[in-house]
Amino acid sequence: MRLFRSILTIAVFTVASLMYVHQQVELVKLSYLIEKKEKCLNVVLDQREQLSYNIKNLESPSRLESALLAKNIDITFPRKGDVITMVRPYVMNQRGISDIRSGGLEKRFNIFGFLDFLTPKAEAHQAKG
Amino acid sequence: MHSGILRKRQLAVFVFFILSLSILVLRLLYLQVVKHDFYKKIADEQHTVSLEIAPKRGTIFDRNMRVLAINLHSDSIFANPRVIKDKQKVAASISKILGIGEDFVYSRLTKNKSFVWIKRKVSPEASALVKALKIEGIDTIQESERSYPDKTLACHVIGTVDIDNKGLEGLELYYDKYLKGEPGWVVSTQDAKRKLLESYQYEYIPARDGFNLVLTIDEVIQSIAERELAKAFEKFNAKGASIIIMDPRTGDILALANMPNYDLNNAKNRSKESIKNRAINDFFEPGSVFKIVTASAALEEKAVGLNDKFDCENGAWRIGRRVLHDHTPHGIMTFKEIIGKSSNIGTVKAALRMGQEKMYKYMKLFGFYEKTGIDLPGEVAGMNRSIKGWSKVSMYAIPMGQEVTATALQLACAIGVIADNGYRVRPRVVKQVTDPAGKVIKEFPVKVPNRVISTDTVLKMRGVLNGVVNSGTGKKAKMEDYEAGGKTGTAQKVEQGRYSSDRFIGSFIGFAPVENPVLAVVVSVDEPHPVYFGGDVAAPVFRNVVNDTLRYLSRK
Repeated sequence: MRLFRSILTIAVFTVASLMYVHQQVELVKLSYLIEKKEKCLNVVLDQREQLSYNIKNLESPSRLESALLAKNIDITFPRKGDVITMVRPYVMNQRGISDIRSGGLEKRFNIFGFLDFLTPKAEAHQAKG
Repeated sequence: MHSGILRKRQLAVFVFFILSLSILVLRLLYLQVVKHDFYKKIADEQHTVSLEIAPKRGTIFDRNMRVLAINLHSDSIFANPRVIKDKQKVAASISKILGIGEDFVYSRLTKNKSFVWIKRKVSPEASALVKALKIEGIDTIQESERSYPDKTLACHVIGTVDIDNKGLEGLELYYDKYLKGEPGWVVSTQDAKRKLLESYQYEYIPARDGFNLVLTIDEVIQSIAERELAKAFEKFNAKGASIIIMDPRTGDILALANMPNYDLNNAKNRSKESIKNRAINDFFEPGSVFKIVTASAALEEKAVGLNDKFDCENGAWRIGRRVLHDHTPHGIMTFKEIIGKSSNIGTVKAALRMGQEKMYKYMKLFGFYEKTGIDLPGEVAGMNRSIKGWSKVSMYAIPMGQEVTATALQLACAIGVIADNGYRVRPRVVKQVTDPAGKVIKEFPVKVPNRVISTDTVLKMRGVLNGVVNSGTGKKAKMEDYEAGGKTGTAQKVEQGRYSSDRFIGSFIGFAPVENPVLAVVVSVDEPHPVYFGGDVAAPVFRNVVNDTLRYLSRK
């Protein structure tokens, strides 16, 4: 009985020790995993920054100008009368001129839309030849 | 018999194990308890490290939040010479990749240290090649490197940093305390390969990244200014050139450029001449552009009227032993014509009506006796004598821009007075400081401007200066779409106390549009040749820059 108790105590102690060691090993493994993931994240973030830097570099006005000039394309800002800004764009419809937002190009809600399959539709086909 | 022997043997084995175990336990007690402090200290030194976490330097944006300076990661190569065996071979292979001397690398590798830098902030390609060699004792550390996507753009405004990202010049220096951030630190356990174990961090204080700067500079306007200035600089074989474009209503510097300039990403290879921010570090005799001060003062003090007539002595006026000359001989002209044709004789005669006390008063009001207070390092003010130091002939020189010195920025503020209804604003380059999330931390509001001249005088001066552009010396500044006002200047440089006959500074200061100015511009070209008149070298730069800038602004 005494031997059994001793063995049990040692076993419990051993299991507890192993659990502690296992926990520590897992912590170290977790550290490595975190480090690996962080490295991946940093690489991706670096790449993103590098790419946005490259885009900024490509969009630089002086670079664009020199690139265009190299192809004999001289660009200038538009003059006063060269640009007409329309406050609200208009389109022609069957009843005359209409605001783009109140008709025309904008798709309107149609409560009988589910019956559309009864009407013929214009379809595009690939041209032969 | 057998059982007796067995028992004895069992006992012997038992005693042996007990004794062995006891020795081990005692040794363990000795190490763990008696020598606890000693070994703990050694273990802590080996496993626990305290590391500083470097903050990320803040980004610099232009007024439209376009990036002008940013931090990118780059690798730095270091070595642990104590673990490198064949140092000569390693030095040979590393030096080839990094493009540095083999002797230099070898001298580093022979040091009795566990850490030496080989080369900091190398290109990603070089770093990859070094890593691929897999040399024991050679490794990389990630650092951040300041990068400038627009390379030369606004180089004198932005400035540079050192290898440790500490501001050295320009805004990088002036606003270093905002940009640099605060380092954090971590106390953690490391493994045998010196890798930090995140799960064993005892203390962690994150780094505070640097704040961002939002400038008043507009990248597009700056680009236009630099393009046109570079053209004039090359065309007229100049020694240097500067341009400042300012919003006269707020003092916002929209563009500030100097020639020669340099690539911010390769600042260590720049020339000496390109380092200086001439627009604020150099003062010079402004010459005829200074006549805007004389004219404004004379009109404000009602010493002259626009239609008052003066005899310009056909280009030569003797005053005692001195003869005052005009570039072109003129007879009798109105005051408006005098400024339009830039007559020295007429301007001096008008100034004499006003008197030297008033001349001095307006020089002070226009800001020629103090720094403008711009938020850039190294600003100087022109060296001008107080009225007590003026000689008898000073009033024959100062009104036409001699015996007086100014920086290009002081001239920008002076023309800004006429462009901004008589108020002198304080120029600024930085609008805001924001945190990394974009929240505004600090704003630099527009300073309450000082009134220098009345609106009535401003309107008169705008008319006079518009005349200079339309029919005077500044015809080359005239634009098709916009009306501008301005004044040309051609100043002789002083050499060994005498005015040089072949070294000049050609300049033009002006504003546009005349009816409601949104731009005040100063262009100065140092030692242009063979053409050197301000109206020929600087006025075309003004025209092209203002034309494109106003078109660009009208599209925004």
